[in-house]
Amino acid sequence: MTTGKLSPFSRLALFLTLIAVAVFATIAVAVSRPSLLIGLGPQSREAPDGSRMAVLEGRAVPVAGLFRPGAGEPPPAVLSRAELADLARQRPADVLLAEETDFVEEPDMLGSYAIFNRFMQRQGWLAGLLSGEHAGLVVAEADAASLTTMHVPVRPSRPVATLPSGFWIQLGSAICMLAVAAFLMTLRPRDGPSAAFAVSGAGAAGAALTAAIYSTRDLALEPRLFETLSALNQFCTFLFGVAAIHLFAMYPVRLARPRSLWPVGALSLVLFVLFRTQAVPIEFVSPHIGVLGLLIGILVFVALQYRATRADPANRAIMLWIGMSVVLGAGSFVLLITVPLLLGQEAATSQGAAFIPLAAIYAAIAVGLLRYRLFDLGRWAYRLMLYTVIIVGVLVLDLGIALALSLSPANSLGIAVLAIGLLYLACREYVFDRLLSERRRPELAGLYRETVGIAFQPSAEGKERSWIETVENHFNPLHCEIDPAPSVTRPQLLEDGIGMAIPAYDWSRGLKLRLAGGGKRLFDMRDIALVEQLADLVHSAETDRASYERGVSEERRRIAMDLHDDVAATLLSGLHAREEGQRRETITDALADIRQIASGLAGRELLLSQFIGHLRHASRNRAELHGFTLQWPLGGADECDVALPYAFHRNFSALHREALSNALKHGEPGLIEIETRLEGDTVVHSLGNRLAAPVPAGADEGERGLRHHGTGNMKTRAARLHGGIEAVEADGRFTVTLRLPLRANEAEPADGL
Amino acid sequence: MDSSCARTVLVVEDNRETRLWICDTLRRHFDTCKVLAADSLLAAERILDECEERGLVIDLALIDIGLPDGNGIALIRRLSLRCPATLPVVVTIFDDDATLFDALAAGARGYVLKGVQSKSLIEQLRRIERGEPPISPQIAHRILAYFRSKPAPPSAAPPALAESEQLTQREVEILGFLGKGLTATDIGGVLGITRNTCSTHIKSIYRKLGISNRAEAALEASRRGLI
Repeated sequence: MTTGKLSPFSRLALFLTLIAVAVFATIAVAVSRPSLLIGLGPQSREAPDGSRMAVLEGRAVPVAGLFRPGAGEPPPAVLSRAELADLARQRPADVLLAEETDFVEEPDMLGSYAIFNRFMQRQGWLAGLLSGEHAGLVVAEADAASLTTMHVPVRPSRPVATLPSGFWIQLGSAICMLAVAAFLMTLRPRDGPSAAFAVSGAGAAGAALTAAIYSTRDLALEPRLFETLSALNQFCTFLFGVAAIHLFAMYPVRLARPRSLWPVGALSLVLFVLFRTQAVPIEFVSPHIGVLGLLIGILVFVALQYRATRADPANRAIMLWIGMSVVLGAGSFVLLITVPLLLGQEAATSQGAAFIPLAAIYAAIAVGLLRYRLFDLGRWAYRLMLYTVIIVGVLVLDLGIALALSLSPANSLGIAVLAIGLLYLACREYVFDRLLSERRRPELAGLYRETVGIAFQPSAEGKERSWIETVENHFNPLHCEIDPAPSVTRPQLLEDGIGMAIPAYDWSRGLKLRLAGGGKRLFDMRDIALVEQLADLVHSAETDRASYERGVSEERRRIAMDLHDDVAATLLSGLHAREEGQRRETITDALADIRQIASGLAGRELLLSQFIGHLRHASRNRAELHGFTLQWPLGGADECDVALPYAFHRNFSALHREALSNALKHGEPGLIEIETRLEGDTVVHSLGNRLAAPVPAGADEGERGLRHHGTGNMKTRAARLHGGIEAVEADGRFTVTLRLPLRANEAEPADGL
Repeated sequence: MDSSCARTVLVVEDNRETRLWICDTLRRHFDTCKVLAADSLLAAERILDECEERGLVIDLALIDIGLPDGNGIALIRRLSLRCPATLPVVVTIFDDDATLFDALAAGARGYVLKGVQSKSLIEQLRRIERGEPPISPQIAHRILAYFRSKPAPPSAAPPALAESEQLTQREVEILGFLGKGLTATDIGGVLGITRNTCSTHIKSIYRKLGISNRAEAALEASRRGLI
């Protein structure tokens, strides 16, 4: 079956199913064996004389021998050690003298084939004892001089609750290792290093599962089962070592082709077969020799990897982490179990406990995934694993608590429930909130505020300072330095996320950040995306600001020209005016100009209808002041709510005032008629009155009228608004008509004036 | 303003030339006119305090808004609250000044333009006193916008108050025409009413603006716990 063709979820489901099968099979085998439940086994306590102790009616008593009840004449109820030894010698099929070797955890540790075979043979006798209804025990009394016999009932199976802690430790270690292996094979099924690591995990887990059964046996196992489990244990241990060597040959730097490592596997297989078939003296093929050899192989490759990654800090970090995890985990197992036995000493700890550091390797890999992206897996892989572990952990804890509650005495139940309600559930909630919640996304309003703040800094230094502050606020790097000549044009991860390079932008030089989140996390693609988003926002704000500044600058230039060309010129006319009335008139005009310019500066929107209203009001006051009457009826323009650009109303106003001034100056006192109407999108504005004096002859009619009235620049103003002006004189009546298109001026505000 | 009637006028204007021109104009046209001049808010307040102490009534107060030591609107508010017999009038350069509306809302009964000739100034004052206060198109737009922005009075409110605060349809129409630059005579012609009727409406608009604004100010002060 090729798991690579399955979807990741199917693969994960498959692996989890296989793990569950392996775990339940292990438990099933362990509980299916008959048991005495007197604590007699590898885990039983040792008496001062070296014999093992059984727990009988709450008392620990040394077991001197065992016998088959009902097989021949039963041993006397009280006997001496010598009598027991005689009986065992005379009736080996019925009576067995207990030996220390019968209770070893790991038969592979026995020094010779003869001892191994004798051990298995005695296991067979003991397993046979468990096939009856009762087992006979010869135990030492308190004075240890006399022995007594007794019958202990045999249970056909072993209740789960009686399985010792060593069993569960090894089972838990195996689950941990298998889970990590399953995740790696789910996420990177075709990747060599991932597969090697997964196989090594499966090997270590296999060794733990098989050892869990026989190292915590209740008195004995059938030899066939025992030998099968022992062989599987050795095979799995070798598998772990071979796979680990393959891993370090390939990861993080490829030092050797996997195929070139075939001698390692082959040699291990040969050792295994030779030991199991007992074809070669045990001194050459002892499993411990193989284990030690494989560990040395691992150490050699770790050392080679250390050398190979000297110029590559990211891979060096990965190598140190995973290498040290494996070396310390596997090394401590070897140091605690294998080396003492090779030296003829007892193991420093029980085999079950020694699997804990081995399982710790796999916990370290989980941490490595977070810190160094082992096997190129991202944060998501870690999170996926973390979720599963948390959920499984909480389920196990819940079950444990439910079990504990069911076993609690009634009077303490209430207190226990209260404690759980107050503490456990609150803690569980906290863990879920902290670990399962996403990293907070930056607030949109905050991003806007920061980026606009950068764009609107008045100086280049201020912009760069604000940019650096923003970046530091978001990523909290331990180190941030300016890179005056960055080699990147887009944000990039450095050293697999240990750092991040930010390119130079218009507002800042390049930056190099290291160790995100105060050193607690790596930079990832989300950080890259955030930098790009921030840069885009700053760029947009910069563009908008530049455009706004261009507009403001253009408006200021226009207003400055208005002040210079119009107001100054008008005031100058007033200064040199000979008549008091004319002086007042020019100063009033200058005030009106200033008012309009100020209005333009204030940026107030002016609609055509409002503009005409203002003009009508001002013109009437002015005409009445000169003894004229103004007739300016409401027209289409009074209902038009088109917003006028400053240049349009400024020029329109100046044109109208000029025409009105001419009418007041040169017209015959009386009625001035004004009409403003809309023809399409063109404002047609006409002003007419009777002339006080005839126009000189010899001039073009229109030109003559305009020139005569000193308004030569009116044409220029009208042209700037993409419009025109015409003057008509007929029957002593002079009419000026302006045609000013609205749309052309809306789309393209007249520049200058 | 009757030239033969003895009146006391307060002129508050920081520009010396303008102040002298206004005072001279007033004295020239009104023989018995007593003119009190102040060039700052503080000086004006001292004069008002003194008048209050002596029981002297100021008939007309011509007040510039932008004074070196404060805003003339404070003075207008004081007069409209404590001296109902005084006619507060704003003196302004432009009749579209943004602060002019605030001054009218604070209780000013009209405004006169500074940049006019003496006879025009007198004509403006006479019209105000006759009950024909001016409303420039810009001010008309602002008044309309002000009343439109106010929510309709709740149905449970006393009818008298609602009426006093809200513009009638006719007043809204008149304000619309004033905004188009028409005079009271023009509007009378368009609506088929006399010029006097139109002026009465304009006076009513002024009154409602003042009442509404003062009620609003009182409400705001109450909200802030000031009264």
